[in-house]
Amino acid sequence: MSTLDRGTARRPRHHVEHVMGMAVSIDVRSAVTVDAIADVVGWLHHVDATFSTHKPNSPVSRFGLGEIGLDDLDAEVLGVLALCEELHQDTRGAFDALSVPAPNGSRFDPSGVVKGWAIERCVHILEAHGATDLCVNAGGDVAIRGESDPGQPWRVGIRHPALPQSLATVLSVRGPVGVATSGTYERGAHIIDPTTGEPTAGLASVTIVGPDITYADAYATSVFVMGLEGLTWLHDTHPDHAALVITHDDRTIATRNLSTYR
Amino acid sequence: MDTPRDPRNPAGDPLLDPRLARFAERSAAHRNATQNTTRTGTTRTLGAPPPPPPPGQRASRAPAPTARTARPRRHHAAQGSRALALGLSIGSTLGLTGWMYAAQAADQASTTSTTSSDSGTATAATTAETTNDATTADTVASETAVDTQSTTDDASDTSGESTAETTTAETTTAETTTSTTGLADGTYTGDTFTNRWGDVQVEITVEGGVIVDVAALQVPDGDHKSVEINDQAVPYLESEALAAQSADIDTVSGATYTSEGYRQSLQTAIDDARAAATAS
Repeated sequence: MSTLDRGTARRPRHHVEHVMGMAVSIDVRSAVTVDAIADVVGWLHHVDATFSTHKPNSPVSRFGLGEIGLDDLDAEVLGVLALCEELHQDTRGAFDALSVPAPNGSRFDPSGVVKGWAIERCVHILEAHGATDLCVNAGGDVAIRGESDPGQPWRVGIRHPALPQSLATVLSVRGPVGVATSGTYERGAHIIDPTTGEPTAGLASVTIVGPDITYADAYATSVFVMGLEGLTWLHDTHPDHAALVITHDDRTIATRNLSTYR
Repeated sequence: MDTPRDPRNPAGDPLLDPRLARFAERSAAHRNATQNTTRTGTTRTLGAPPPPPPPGQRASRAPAPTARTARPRRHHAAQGSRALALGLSIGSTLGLTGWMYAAQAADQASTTSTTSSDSGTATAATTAETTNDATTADTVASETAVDTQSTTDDASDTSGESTAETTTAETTTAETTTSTTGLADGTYTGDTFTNRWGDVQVEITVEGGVIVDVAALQVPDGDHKSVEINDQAVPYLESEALAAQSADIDTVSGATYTSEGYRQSLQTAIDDARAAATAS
């Protein structure tokens, strides 16, 4: 952010904040003041301090390690725990914050949903500042509202799982929409199948498109764990979401409704 | 007059407490189970696979048996649902349109209590398995989907319909369930079907009333690359990688990259360009 930018100047703004162990790109095409960006940045650091499993003293870490109980957590954290439980039931166990070994040494890691949940709230903050056309990308999870330019959808490239500088495809979307991609090609085998305790590796990449990045993010991880059967699960339980799956042998399979995003 | 706001639940979500209760139960079960394992405190480096679970780790998700009466040893509930999903997947992808339980299983009355000790995973399995009559795999799958759909619909509706609360309440009072499928323990063999790749026969194993294994007895040869997952999934036509520069994209969605990975990523170039465009 420019240090000379004071006061109430409204214009499109772009900022990259490194927080929560990743880069968050904030791209606001609407005219907003610098406060809009500052509020989003403040929110992201609050999420980091509260939910990070890399920080042993965060409330989430302390809870996971048994140092504090449910009664010591505030409403915001309780809401995320309830969300974890909702997703656990919805995905038939494929999403499970309690079966993932956490960096803090506990077996509780809600990071799989916290990221999307936090991004969606970034968007709410920007909308509260009057933004209608925006794109927030946190480590590859994208939340979008409105259009990129008047009359133009946002063009979201999907990274190719095998070729880091290439794209598997490009989706054209208008908000409100979230695009989340799950895969192991960036951080190695870090996605654990809760039913086996082992890293999953059946698919190379899963991209989910839906109205809310909170759920798109969680479903991407869940479908990745489920494998190809996850496409059936998604179609049956969440027909308002679309999926693109790339297998290790280079097959690309999509749900039919992905055609609305081409 | 206003109802006093609960600071723990300012939004008044009626599903909060049952979900937190269920979460607390599962969390405690995990804590009890992991006290005896060697995985606690292990830290992993990026890219390094976690150590394999010690023997018996798979039972960790089930609550420690305390006052429960002895019952047949059962596999982890998720194994059953995963096996069932695999079986349905094998069935659907190989063109299997029906398979029958053995006659004595079909005559068994199915119980109406549906829950098990683990929430969502067994919910799906038991939803399918409480079907009393012999059903096609497709019917089973659609019933699973329908029940899961209604569960999901209720779960996402915060107006507090009683069905949703009943569902979650049932899962928190688990562990007194006896048979969840109405099937006696044993092995059941389906009919043999012929599809475009050959003959397929499926065998299921039931333990403790739960389907714990699904085996394909005859696996056809053939080209599986052309399989369609279901009527709603199609091969995606764009199979060639696109060069990012010519794609004129606004953002990149990919697997989560760390700040280090970001610096080499496509997204960095996009952000640099956009920053230059918006600089005052």
